[in-house]
Amino acid sequence: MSRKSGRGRKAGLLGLVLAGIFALLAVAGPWLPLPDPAAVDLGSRLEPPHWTEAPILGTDAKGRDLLARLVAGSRVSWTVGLLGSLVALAVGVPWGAAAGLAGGRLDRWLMRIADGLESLPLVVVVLFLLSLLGEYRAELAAVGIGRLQVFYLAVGLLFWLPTARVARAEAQRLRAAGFAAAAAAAGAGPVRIFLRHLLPNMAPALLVMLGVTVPRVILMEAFLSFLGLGVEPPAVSWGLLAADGLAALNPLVGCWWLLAFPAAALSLSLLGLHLIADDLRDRLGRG
Amino acid sequence: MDRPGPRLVGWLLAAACACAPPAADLVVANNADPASLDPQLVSDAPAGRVVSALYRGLTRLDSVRLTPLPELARCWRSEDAGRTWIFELRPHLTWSDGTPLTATDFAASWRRLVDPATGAPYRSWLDGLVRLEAEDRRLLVSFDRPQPTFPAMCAFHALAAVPPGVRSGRQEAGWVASGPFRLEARRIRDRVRLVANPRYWDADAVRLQSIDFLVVESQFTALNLFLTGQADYVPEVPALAVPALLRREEERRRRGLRPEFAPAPFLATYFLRLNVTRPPLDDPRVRRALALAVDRARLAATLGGGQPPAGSFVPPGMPGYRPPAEPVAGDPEAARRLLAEAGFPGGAGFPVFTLSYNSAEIHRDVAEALQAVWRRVLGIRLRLENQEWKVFLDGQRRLAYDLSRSSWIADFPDPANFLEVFRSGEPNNRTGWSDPEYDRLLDRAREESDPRRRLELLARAEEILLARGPILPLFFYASHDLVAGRLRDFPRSPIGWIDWGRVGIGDGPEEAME
Amino acid sequence: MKPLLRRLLAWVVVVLAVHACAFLLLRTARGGPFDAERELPPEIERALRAEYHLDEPLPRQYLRSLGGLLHGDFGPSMRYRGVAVRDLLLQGLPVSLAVGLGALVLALALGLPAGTLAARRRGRFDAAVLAASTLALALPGFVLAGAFVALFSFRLGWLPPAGLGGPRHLLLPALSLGLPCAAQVARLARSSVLEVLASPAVRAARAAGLPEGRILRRHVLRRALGPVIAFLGPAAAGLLTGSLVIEQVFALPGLGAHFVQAALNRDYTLALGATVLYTALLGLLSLAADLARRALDPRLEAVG
Repeated sequence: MSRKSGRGRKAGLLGLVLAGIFALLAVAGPWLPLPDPAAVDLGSRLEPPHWTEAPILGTDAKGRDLLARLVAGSRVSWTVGLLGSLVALAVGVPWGAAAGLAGGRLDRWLMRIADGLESLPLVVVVLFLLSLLGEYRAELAAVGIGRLQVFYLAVGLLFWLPTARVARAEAQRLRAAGFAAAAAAAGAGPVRIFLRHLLPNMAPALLVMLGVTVPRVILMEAFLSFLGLGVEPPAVSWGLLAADGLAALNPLVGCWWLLAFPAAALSLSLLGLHLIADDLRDRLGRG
Repeated sequence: MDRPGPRLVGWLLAAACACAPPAADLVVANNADPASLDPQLVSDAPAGRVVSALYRGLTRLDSVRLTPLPELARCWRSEDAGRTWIFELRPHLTWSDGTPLTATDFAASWRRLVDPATGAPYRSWLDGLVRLEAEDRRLLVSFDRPQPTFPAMCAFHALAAVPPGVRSGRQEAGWVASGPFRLEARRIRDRVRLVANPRYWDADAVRLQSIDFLVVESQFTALNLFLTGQADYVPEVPALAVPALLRREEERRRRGLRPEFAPAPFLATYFLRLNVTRPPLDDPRVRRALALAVDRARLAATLGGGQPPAGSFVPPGMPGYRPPAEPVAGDPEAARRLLAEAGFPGGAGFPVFTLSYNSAEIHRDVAEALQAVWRRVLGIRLRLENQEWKVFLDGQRRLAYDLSRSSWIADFPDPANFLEVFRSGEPNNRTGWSDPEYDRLLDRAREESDPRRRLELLARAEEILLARGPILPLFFYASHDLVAGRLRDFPRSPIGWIDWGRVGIGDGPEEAME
Repeated sequence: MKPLLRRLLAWVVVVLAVHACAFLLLRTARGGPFDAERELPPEIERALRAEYHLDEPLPRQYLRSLGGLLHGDFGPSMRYRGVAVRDLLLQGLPVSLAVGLGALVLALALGLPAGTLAARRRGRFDAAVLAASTLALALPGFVLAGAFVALFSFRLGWLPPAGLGGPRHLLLPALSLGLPCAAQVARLARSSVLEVLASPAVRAARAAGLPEGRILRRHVLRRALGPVIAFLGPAAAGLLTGSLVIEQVFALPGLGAHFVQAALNRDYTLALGATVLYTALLGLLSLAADLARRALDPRLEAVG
């Protein structure tokens, strides 16, 4: 859109920088000269930020380096955000594309199921599933499914519906444009049509969708970790760190850094991702 | 249609007012919501606090010496070397609804306690009951063995009389009471509101008109309520806040204000259960090695809550009992030697084992500290498993664990209350451990009528428990409660029992000490 | 009103399906509801299981549960012995409703004027609203809650940090819950007002020399409200997620706290009741939002 000029571009750039910083931290984490994020040092508990030397952002109640934990947390939060969103896309796109391409009765049924699911308090359902799955952890672990994998699936389950709708709209648009019919006339099967013709044409819309979904998943992870149903110690995520900080919030022991830094990391990443998504939407005009 | 605002605001105000009761004289941030107010059905500390204000037993415990004092019973005596106890109730006792409270109420309540259909967790307290007779104000109870601690046990709510309506199932517990307070209102997950019971025998001594027991599960929230003046009593503060609270206390003392925070010993032990049905924990040398590797003094110190390290299972402070304490500093050399003898020199070949604990900050701290210590000293790897409470208990019960975090809190001040837990086949044993010599010593203690000899036998049993037993005691609890400076008297005992009837409020909000 | 009827029917089907699924999931879960620190003798556990009909075959239990549901009765709670689940839900509901509606009112009261003004004025105010709403969207409710408690309770001492006791106690929870929602409302209102302002009808009205305020009231707001009201259904779902957390932060005895605890405590009947109630409420809310939108914008009627 032409209306969005200088300012929009600048906001998008800011978003790219913000999200990029934290994404970079997540990727480069293991190679940074930081202490072990799980190393307990009960001798130096609740050190305030020293800014220029060793515990740069201070330590937590068990003397663990907060900066190291934030970096480790960024890894988990971003991984959950990306993988959870990909799961959402992996479920939602074929669903929506099938509905949009096929049209008619199949479309009606698929969308009716989606409508039904939409009217569910899905968060409640996922909460439920996660707490129940905790009981079968040993069995799941035996087949190689850990807590985190369950978590990606659960979060994907929460967010696939909007993706399905976008994919359906795109598929309908492309169908109307005659893509599918042309390909089918050339003898291509539905899977081939989907992969070779639809997917590349949908890419911009899906990119916007991904941009919108990633921050939502990261936020959801923070919520669920907060309730004790997300990532578990010794693993860390921003949500867990912020929950720890918030749980310790009190007027007596002024350990503000425990809440402030994880909250800032989480919020700035979300802000960056939102700005990127907005910018993408403006540039690609869809989503 | 396009202005939903005003109507919504109206709704909101109506809803908000519906849930806003006026403030009570005393507000207690009472942790979890009591699942029941039936004195025979509750077994958790938060419910115990409420129930002890509602129902009174034949005796109550002196809050310092833990010896039994007359309460609903005026006096008592024993016959037959402590096998039979005869209580005489005070004259003219009534329930809060005005019906007379007699010895028959106690006899009927105790029959209800032992009835399996009641589902009472403390049913075993009356094990060995052979005779129970009530006549007006006289109550006679006989056991098939000496029960030297029975009058002290009578102070506990499980042995209080249950109102007739509750016994027959016609009425909810709490509304008719025998103690200094009765129930006025109850909102689940919000609060329990008690008001003074004018028919309590010692009603003149009761100075509070009403008490609110708030449901506040987060310790920090409870602390915040206290610090902002919204709560007067907090039973447990977060360990993290202890140093700051001690500093605050120092400051208060300088300004001549009443103390609000004074950590004191508490009759409870934090320990690990070791599953002896799983190798290599079936080898006593391995269990010993695990115990000796830990410097419990250091562990307790790093928790930072002022908890004393535990060299025994029974906490110190039981009247007349000296637990056979072992050194708490640990002995890494001996630990490594024992582990080598057991076939794991330097931890080589030792399987990865798991410590299960339920979600709570302190359990995580302890688990992580142990993980580090055993790795450093013994070269063995410990996996940590944080479990939700119900799953955790289920696993412990089914012996589906290697190591399991545990604690035991005294119900009445007697070592047998702790040691009987690990008798063979006892439901609460939950370790698979069984030792004939240990059981024999407990049996002999049960039959012993001389209190001193009895305690000696129990001490010998505890030595066995510590030397080859299935447990690793880590530290004793310290009470970390906060009592508002405006309260004048706050009688509380090291088993967490608070005499709500004798709590007094000062004149000013922050009254200075005389 | 055929579409309405169909949606009502769909609502019933969804509620029943959720009930059935939740019932099955909970009953197959490991870990009995009567665990406690101290062991229950087997005969007592049997007596308790019989009391809650856990000893019956599963289909019988399901039918019993379903029959109760039709009467709005979910049976006795398993953790709170002797208390009906219905009473528990009825006690929690006003608290959750008060917080949730408070948040919704705040969201509308802040978001609508901000969004409308931003669209009309553009320029600096618009930029400020956009920036503020982007920022608010990036702040999770519990972070806001922490900041508010630190400021208003600890620093200024104006409002209580937790608990229940009156409208004052509900202000911070509603604010923490409602602010991200307000940001979304503002953005929606802004874009839809912009769209309507650019429409031919408004241009015609302007050309006819109608006063700007009247155009705004008569033409713009009425049509621009549609998307905002349509958003209220999903917004209610978002508030619900948020309220689970907010109720925990502020120790409020609402439905959310019931639900999380019930799931953790294996209080089968209570968890079931809460899940079904949530589903029913959410369905009704989105239905109501839909109706309101139709009433506001008659053109939608035809689309059905």
